[in-house]
Amino acid sequence: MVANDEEVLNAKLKKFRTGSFRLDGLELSIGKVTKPSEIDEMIEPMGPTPKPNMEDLRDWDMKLLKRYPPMYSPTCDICCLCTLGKCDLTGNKRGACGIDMKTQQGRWSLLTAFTGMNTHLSHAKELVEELIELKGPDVPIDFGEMTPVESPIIRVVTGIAPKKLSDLVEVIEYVESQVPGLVAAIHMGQEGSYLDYESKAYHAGMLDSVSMATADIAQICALDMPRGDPNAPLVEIGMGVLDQTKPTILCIGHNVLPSIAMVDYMREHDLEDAVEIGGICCTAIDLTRYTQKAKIVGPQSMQIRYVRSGFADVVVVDEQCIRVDMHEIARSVKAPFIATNTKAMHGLPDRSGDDIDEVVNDLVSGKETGVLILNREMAGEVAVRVALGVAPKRQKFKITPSEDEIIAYAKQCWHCGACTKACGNSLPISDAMYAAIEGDFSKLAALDDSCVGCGKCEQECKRFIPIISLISKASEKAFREHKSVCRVGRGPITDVEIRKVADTWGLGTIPGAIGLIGCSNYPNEHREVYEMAEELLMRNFIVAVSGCGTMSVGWYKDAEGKTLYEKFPGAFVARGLCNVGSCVSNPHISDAGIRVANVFARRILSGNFQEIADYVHNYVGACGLVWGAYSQKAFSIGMSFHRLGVPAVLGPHSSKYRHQYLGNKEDLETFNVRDIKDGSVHNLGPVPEHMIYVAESKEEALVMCAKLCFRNNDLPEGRQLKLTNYIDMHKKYYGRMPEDLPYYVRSEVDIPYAAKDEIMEILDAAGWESKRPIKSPTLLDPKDLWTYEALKQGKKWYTV
Amino acid sequence: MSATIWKLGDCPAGGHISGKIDGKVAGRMIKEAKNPLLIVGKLACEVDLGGKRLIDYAIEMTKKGIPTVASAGSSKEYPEDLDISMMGAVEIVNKLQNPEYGLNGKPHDLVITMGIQYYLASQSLATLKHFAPHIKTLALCARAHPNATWAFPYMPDYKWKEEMDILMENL
Ligand code: SF4
Ligand code: SF4
Ligand code: SF4
Repeated sequence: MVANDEEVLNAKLKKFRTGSFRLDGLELSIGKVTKPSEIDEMIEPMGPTPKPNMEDLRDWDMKLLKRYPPMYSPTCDICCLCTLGKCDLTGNKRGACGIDMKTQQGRWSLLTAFTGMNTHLSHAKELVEELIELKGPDVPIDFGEMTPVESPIIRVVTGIAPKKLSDLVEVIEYVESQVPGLVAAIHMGQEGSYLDYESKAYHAGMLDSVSMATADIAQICALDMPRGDPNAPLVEIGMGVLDQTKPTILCIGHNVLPSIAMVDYMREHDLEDAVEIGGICCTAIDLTRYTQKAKIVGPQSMQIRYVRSGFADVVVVDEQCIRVDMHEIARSVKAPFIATNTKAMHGLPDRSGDDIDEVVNDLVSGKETGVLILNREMAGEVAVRVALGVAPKRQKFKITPSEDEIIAYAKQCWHCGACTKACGNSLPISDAMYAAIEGDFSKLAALDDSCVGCGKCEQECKRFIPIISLISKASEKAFREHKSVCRVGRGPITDVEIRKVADTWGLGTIPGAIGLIGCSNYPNEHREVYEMAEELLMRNFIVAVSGCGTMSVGWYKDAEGKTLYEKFPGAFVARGLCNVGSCVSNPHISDAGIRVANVFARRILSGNFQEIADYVHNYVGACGLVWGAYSQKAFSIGMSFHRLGVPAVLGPHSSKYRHQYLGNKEDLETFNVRDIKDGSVHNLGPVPEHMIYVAESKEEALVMCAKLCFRNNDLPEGRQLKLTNYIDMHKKYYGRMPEDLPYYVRSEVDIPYAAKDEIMEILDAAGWESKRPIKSPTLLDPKDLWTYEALKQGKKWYTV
Repeated sequence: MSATIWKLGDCPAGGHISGKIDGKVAGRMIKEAKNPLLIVGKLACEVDLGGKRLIDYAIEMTKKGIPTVASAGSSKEYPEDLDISMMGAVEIVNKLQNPEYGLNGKPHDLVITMGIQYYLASQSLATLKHFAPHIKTLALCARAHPNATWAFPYMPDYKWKEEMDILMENL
């Protein structure tokens, strides 16, 4: 439990400040520890819900769900989960078990979040177990003096402050203990309330954060990845980054361990300059945190295009977001395929126990086109040796057509439109074929930036036209030469950075922090993500990125050839572009909000989820921007943000998640808050207005992000600044002043000076009345604020 | 008569697919509605039906007095003196689940959608289909929408323009 180990505690306490602070009339003394006996007294008291079960935070969930009720958009009218069905639930009818459409959608919410959470849990478990085996159980979990709280979310949820790698086992065991109840609730004939399903989905989302944090701190500490370094190096990214004069290995997925084994093998055998290694998706991001000799090829959507282009001599997959037909695609270009994870064995023969030379020979000779190797070290050695052996034989064999072949294919096109019907982005493929017949490939090339590489078009084409290959060939030059840079994932945002930024951010004078995260199912051009990041940075937001978002932001350059990573600092500051790392690094972004609660407001973290979420919700102006979310993991990450009180704006494809959580500002009472001082009820406006919101266009997303960074605790100058941004973006993209200003101007001092007359006119027309400001808003009953309770009871403790 | 599904993978349960409609009937239906509501998405500004954009039709409809929500920045194309409401497609759809809600204070009986990304429109129409039984929906997109009460069938752009012109004549 919390820092019981005296030695470690003593070491940590040396870093803590002494002094005292006030929390609305209650004073907490902080002194020096002179005798070990005093240490126990000074340990942060445990909050009310360490290791919560699914019912323990239900009251908090219901508070959020009352403010932000789920809006459901079913993708399918039926339920076919059991043999009493299929049941038609159209119009909120009930199925044979009594479930109605709303509750069925709630069940989907849990099912989706639960799948995402377990994927990260399993990933975390493998990392921790294997890293303990590799590096020993005592690897210290230490992010240095700048970051005494190693993992805020783990502390807040479980009460555990992990000090060494093996301490993470207890964290994993807690998350695992929650699995049976959650999955059992999905069974037919269980939960009968959509709100309770949502509450369980939040629980899964929160556990997902804990799992991701566990995975990332394990790999950072055991593999010595950057620990909160804002100046983490730049690394190459792009379709043209792997040197095609050398044998190349392409790693796809999220679990970095097999790729690490390849790098270690190359290091041991002095092959680092002889073989190129790069990756697609989060494995690539994490590998560059280990060695900057590795390169990032691109996001998940690039898999087919890259492999078909023949650039990879060996394809290695680990887990998550890999195309499950990758063996077939790799085989088509004569690239041996290696699967390395029990979750994704692809029907391949398990060669883990075989003689290495034999396995290498079988793959190089083509006797086997793919193998399963579950032994990490062996997979590493085999991949490198096979790359060396097969590269001279393959000669970068590709299946992209020649220009003449494109014309021949285009002539075969019936212009039936089946491809466009199948395409998620309804891309105008037939038009591009007309142009291609005339030798004009520009229309095909223009599809490249909006194509998510799913391959559904090819599945529909009755003329068997390899549409993706045609697009790749048409954009081949740009493709081959595409090189850009991306900052290596820095890991946590430090407590020192938070201390520096907390007053301006927490009080609203930085317009907000935007977490630009998630996958690559973009609705339009990939470029939009870069454009959104640039606009937010120019407007003084803090922009934190992770996962495929990281890559999209670095994919493009300005007129002078500079990427955003070269133009903006990597620190967590206004106008900072802070890359935390891969998908499992996401909690570092939400942890920034928790760190504010701890560093700035001195709230107890340990086992105190509800109070911390309440704080983050009311005080920390932050919003997620998840433009291409597709996976179940992305959904559960969204739910983890939601339970912590942080809103998120999603791209239009995310409407297919079936759920949004939208406030209704006409129902203003749902936005009531209480004053911590006396429990009195107030209304400071619908802030933040929504929790999970799907935007139709990038313009709508930007305007909504600005608005969802408003917080009840904004100081007048902070609200002025946020309103200035909101109004300016609204005018730019909507052509008019926002209609809802009367909701967000609390009193005249909130009104931006430059537009005062115009705003006053709108306020007067709406019969606006000023609201009495309060300093300390909460959604909770003040007696449920654990920090205050502990102070009243005379408890003393150290904070960082 | 029911419309053929355009987007692959759409699979509403039996018997609930939208009714196929043409410009003439659509125009009359809007005219006869007690309190219609028009939702215009951003794509309306980008769809060019041979010299006339979809947004131009939407603006004409608004000028005829139909309460209008312009979502996602489509408002930018509207003349400043024309009364519209700016909110997200998902925000208005969320509000419409309440049978008492009306943009102009009165409940709507017909909701018309145009120019919203196909899949977002499809999901939004699903919300109304399942949770707003008091509302009929009409999708004026030329990519058949099975979740709407009535929808144009899938048709090429020139035909779409013809139907929109007929619709305007009948409004
Ligand atoms: S779980 Fe219920 S709704 Fe689903 S098929 Fe079975 S009886 Fe029908
Ligand atoms: S499906 Fe094939 S034949 Fe039909 S339009 Fe598309 S590319 Fe042409
Ligand atoms: S591969 Fe590209 S063009 Fe083909 S269906 Fe998918 S997104 Fe559309």
